Amino acid sequence: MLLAGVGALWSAVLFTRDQRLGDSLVWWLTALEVGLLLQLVGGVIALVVTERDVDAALFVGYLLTAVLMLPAGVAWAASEKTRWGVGVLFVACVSVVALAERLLQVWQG
Amino acid sequence: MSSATNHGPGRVLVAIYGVFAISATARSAVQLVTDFEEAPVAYSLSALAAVVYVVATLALASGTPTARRTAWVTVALELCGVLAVGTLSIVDPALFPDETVWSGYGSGYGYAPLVLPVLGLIWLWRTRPSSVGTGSGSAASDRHGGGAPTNHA
Repeated sequence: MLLAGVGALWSAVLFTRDQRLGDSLVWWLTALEVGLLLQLVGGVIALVVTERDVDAALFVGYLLTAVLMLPAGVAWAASEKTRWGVGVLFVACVSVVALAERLLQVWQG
Repeated sequence: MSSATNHGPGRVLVAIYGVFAISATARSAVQLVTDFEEAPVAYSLSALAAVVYVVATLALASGTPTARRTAWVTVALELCGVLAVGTLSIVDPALFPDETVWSGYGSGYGYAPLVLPVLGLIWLWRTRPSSVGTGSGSAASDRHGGGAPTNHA
């Protein structure tokens, strides 16, 4: 979970420097999305296994939102051909970082 | 297309609004379902804030003349909301035993709820349709305010 957060942060820095959407960014986003999917699966498993008192609905809600964030960002950015399209992806990545942080907070109770 | 609210920087603005619409809605839903009695004022305001964000997002994303008016109203409402609730939450914290998006001028969200409506209003102003009817092609170069204001807010 933390890894995805750090990854998103790193990609966010990358995005601010990069001016337009290129293949490398798409690949990076794909990798990040796979990571988020793994986070969803791992998070749900961890939720079932754990003996912690975690707010399940909240936790899964954040997990799902994190998974949907990048596809939504890409969809919204796709029809914008200027550099602001990448700005949208930056917002999406920052949001993923925020979500990861909230996930940790919820997990730690 | 310089008068569209959903292109260029507006693209990013809509994206940020979208994130806030989702988070405000989710937060409000959880609050309303789980423990509304605990802080009815705060939670009602959360719900109102969520509605405002959702409508503002859709209005900015759509960019039609009607949507533009809706955007003016909702973004202005949002600014009033964050200022009013922010002030109230500091003056009378008892009103808000639990946080809302707008508590402390949105300090829980890096003051984004305070900055966002200001950016929204600036963006709506910058992209306002230039003089109606004359059909000038270069709306971008047209900075002087000039004649009749065309928006209602």
